[in-house]
Amino acid sequence: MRYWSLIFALAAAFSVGAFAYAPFSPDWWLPNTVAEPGHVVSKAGREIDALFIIILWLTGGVFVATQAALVWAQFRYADRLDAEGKPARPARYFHGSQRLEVIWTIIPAGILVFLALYQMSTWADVKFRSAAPRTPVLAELTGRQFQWMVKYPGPDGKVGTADDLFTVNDLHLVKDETALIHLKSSDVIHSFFLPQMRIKQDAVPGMTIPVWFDCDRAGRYELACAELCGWGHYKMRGDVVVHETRAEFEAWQAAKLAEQGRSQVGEPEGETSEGDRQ
Amino acid sequence: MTSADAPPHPAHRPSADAAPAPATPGKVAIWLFLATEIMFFTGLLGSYIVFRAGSPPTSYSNLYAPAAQLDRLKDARGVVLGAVGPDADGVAGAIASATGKGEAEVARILAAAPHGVVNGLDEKGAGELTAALGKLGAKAEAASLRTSNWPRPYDPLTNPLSIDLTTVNTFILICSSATMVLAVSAIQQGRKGRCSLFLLATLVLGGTFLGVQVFEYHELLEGRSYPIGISPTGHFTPEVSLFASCFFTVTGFHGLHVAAGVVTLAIVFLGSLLGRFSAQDFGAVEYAGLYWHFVDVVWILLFTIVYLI
Amino acid sequence: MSDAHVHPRPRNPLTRYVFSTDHKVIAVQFLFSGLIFFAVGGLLAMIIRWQLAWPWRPVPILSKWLWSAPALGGQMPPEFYNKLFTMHATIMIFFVIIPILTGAFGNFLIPLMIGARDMAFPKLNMFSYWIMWPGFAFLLASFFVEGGPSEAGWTGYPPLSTDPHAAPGSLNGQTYWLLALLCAGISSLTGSINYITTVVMLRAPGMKMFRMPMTVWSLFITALLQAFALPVLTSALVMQLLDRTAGTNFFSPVGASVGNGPAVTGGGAPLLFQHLFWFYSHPAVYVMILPGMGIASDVISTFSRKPLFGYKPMVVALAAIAGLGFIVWGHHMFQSGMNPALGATFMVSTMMIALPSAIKVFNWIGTMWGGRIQYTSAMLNAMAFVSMFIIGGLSGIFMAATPVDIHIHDTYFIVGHIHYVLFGGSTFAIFAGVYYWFPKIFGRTMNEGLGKVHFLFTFIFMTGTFLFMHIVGWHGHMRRIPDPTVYEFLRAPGVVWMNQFMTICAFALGLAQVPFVLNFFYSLVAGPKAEANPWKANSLEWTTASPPPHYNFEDLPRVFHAPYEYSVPGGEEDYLPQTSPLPPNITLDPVMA
Ligand code: HEA
Ligand code: HEA
Ligand code: CUA
Ligand SMILES: [Cu+2]
Repeated sequence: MRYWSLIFALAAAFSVGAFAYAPFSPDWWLPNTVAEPGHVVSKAGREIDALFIIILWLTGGVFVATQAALVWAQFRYADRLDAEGKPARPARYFHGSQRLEVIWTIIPAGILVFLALYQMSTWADVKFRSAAPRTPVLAELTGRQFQWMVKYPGPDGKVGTADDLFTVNDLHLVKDETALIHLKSSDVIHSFFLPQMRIKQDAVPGMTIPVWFDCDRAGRYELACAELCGWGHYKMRGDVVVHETRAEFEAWQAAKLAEQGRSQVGEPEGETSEGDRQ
Repeated sequence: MTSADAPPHPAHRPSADAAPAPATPGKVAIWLFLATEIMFFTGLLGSYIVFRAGSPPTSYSNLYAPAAQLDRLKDARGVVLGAVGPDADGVAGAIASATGKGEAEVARILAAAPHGVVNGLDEKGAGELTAALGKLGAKAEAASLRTSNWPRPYDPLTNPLSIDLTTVNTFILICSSATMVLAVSAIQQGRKGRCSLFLLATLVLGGTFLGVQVFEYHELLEGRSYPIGISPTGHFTPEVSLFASCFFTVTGFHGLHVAAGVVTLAIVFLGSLLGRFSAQDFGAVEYAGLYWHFVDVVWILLFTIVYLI
Repeated sequence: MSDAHVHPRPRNPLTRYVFSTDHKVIAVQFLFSGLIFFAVGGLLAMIIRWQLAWPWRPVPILSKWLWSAPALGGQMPPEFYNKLFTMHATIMIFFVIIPILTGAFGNFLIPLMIGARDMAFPKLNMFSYWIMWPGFAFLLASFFVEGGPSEAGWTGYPPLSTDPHAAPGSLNGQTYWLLALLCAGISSLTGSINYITTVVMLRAPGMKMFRMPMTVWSLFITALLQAFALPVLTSALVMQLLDRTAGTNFFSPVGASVGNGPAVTGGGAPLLFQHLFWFYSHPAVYVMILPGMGIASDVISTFSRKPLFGYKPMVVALAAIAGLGFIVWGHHMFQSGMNPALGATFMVSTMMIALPSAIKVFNWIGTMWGGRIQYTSAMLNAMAFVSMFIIGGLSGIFMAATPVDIHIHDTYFIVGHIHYVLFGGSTFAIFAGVYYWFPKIFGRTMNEGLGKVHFLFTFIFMTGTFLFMHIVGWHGHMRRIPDPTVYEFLRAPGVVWMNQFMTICAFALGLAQVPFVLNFFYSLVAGPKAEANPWKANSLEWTTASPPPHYNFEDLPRVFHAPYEYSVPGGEEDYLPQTSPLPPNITLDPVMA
């Protein structure tokens, strides 16, 4: 009978094992670039990951302690019968302990208050509008079923003028410069998700929400839609290209603008050819 | 806590601790039911308040339909048609030629007089149209754009609700609450005839309230024509604005509750006529009364929030 | 209530088994419909898992009649996947877990455990069950309307759910979904009113509030939670329904347009729906866990043969969870565009909810500590409840931390959390309750061997199915996507492997329910006849026959103490029913017991 406790012990050990192994495999751990699995590319990402790891340790400790106590109780206090079929040992008769109740309320309370206060500044840095960078807007990003429409201000630095640059599912920015984006939606709710930069923000129709982030490695990253938005939600994917230098970015922009001027398209048409799956 | 302190009860008495149970299951249940109803109306009225507080300051205007894009119309002018005067065709023609509006739209403007609104003019055009209409014997006045985040009470250009009518109606409902109190106290004293009488009075007053509300709905939905600032179609229907959506939902659900109350009262009244209740046994009258007061209180809140502020 | 209540059962089979006002019959009705829907919801989950492990591979057998377009070559259309998880969650939450916990256990146990002959309002009780049927009908009918069932997720966020052109399921299915939920809601509301009144008014002599079993306490507090939170959801559903049918525009913002459709003229606020929805649906998750906590407390105390550790703190903790549950709803909306300062306050209140939960967990372990633990199927499931709830609860801490939630919101980390609390928590509690009370409900005993087989495989495969969801989740795997391989970072071999592993475990988890189904039906007709008190437990339901007679008790019992007096020193037996006075030499600590 008491060996049932082993099942519980095994499940707990398996869980701890899986979580403990995770950091050692890039496939199992928080998403980072393939080349550098140990490096988080954004400042917010580094803070968030640090917090994540603190919570992982804390909850891991709580988990191991509670499961150990549970399994021990299951093992140690299993009913056993003596030769005559009578219980070998009576159960203890007590109704609790006020002192213990107080202790195990106060300790978690301390831990939780610590956590709550500790993370406030990160949250404020990532989301509070007062923390938004005072830089010009990199682009206005509008979610629509099922693509990300990007509108760059173009040479005059203003969005909504004739020289705006339009792209679809293609967001470009410059390494080490904080990118400020105005997030919108033209139909249903979408969510702007950059797994590698640990950024997520819903795009809500009727609202314009500022989002900012940075990236310290040039390269190509993925932009996902994280809020259910219809049948094509799963494939509402975009590219994020981080340029090494401002000059490179501007060259890209100039080339794109020239292309756009040639084809005379203001706003790109909805890509109906994407109508089929995959 | 030792064992022996449980007082010996007769085996079939349901309640445990308190010796004479002050509340009956029915009363507990009706209060709980009212609590759920309160939360329901909190959801609706709370949403109303949130919408109202969160509406941008240009949501409603005297000259354009609700939620129109007003950014580029800041110096737009219009003309408010106070009375059509003897020459309706001439007035219609003048408006059509000044604004280029189609026949149907012009007809709506005329129908909405004394609050017909002609929009889409500039300062000069408004002045000319006012003068032209004056010549035709109509009453007209130039108006500049005024916006608000929500329709204001007693502003016939943005708010179709008649506060006067509804004040009377509110008074009727309050009276019905009073007669209900009298009905309950009558039966508590065992005066069955008096109870029936006051129940009937409550029933009639409640029915009157509903009748007035039906009349009000009729006026809003099709009876009258309203200016553009209230509705682009001339009629106040749920889809024309957020205010309309809220108004019909909140007052509609309240109306349904009144209707349910009237049906309940009718049943109780019949029971009373048949002599079902007495000074000892008047639960149904009391519960119907509690519900009726609740409906009344919700109305007073609703009236204040939706009509008055 | 008087002696007149003790009359024979109705003779007419229709009023005896179908339109019965007997709380025990109604409980069984809730139990059966809940379990049947459990099978349906589980089947939908199996199809979900198939698609996730092997995207677009035709589903064996089912693909032929679930979606017919031949052009797809048997592939699942992506909108069908959205329908799957929407209906899976809707069924599991509103038609399985809540009806079984509150409808079945609540109905069966409240009157029996407090020593009442029936609910306060038997006819209303019957109504609460039968109003579920229009709900069932709307739910099932929605599969056959044009556009198919709802596909806006169980959260039904507008404008996806309100604009008929935003998704096929929003054409008609969403309306049916709303109506189904409204019916289920009315059922819960009338049920709650009945339960609260019964607990407050109909307790047997001597049954003080602080002598009620934890199960009754938990159901009582759950009913309060529902009575105050559900009407707000009702108002939200009504507004969404009006948006869809009457042209109101509560939740459609100005200017939004789907596809090339006309721009909406509304002015409404999509986020308002989220607030109203979560104002109920966060408390709803506690509706789904509190009764489980009550059941676990009773089962653990009985099979540890030991008084419940800290009875009063346990009650206070339940109340605290319920109370705090009203002020944390915003934690589902951290990334929604809600004011981030508001998010910070919701984060603090959410963290605080872990405190009463901590009290519960430690007290369960304290109850087992020093006991004489008997490993029955019921006990095993109750212990699994504790073990798994800890995992689910702790993962909640990650999400409560707003910055971390930025990354894990709307990923499989959340899905992992959901299933650890709802399968590992609520469902194990339901199993524990079924094994524990089956003899009382049906008068026959379930087979322990099969019960243990069922437990063993369920426990193992539930870990296999849901554990790795946390890992793929923090790796960034979004939820509600039929094909993760669209994304490069989700094409990593480890992620693909874990998805397949989870799917295989999920199938095994489904198969592991076969022994349960067999056991259930076999025992129902051929199980050994049960004694009145097979587990030697203390609470009142065990003092009457199995199954209890119509109107429950020959004579209303008289109660002397709380139901946790096990292994009282000097006692002849190791249990002391609530109807037997405590021995004179025992005095209890008033704070703890
Ligand atoms: C039974 C159901 C249930 C229960 C009990 C809970 C319990 C909790 N939930 Fe969960 N939750 C759901 C069901 C449930 N949840 C569902 C269905 C969703 C998703 C909805 C959707 O979007 O579809 C969700 C989503 C959800 C979110 C939103 C995530 C997101 O979308 O981004 C959050 C965020 O804070 C959250 C937090 C919590 C917390 C803090 C608890 C706490 O109550 C947990 C408390 C328990 C413990 C902490 C463990 C025991 C305690 C100890 C051992 C003591 C020591 C501990 C410490 C010191 C840390 N939940
Ligand atoms: C109580 C709630 C509950 C339960 C029990 C389950 C059970 C399961 N769930 Fe579910 N799930 C949710 C609630 C629940 N889920 C919710 C709320 C969501 C979010 C939806 C959303 O995003 O909107 C979700 C989403 C969800 C997803 C994510 C989909 C996505 O985001 O793309 C997945 C994927 O793997 C999944 C899988 C499973 C599996 C494999 C089970 C298995 O445990 C199922 C095993 C069970 C069976 C196979 C049934 C066995 C049958 C019986 C026992 C019947 C006995 C009958 C008689 C005796 C008559 N679920
Ligand atoms: Cu856009 Cu999901
Ligand atoms: Cu929640």
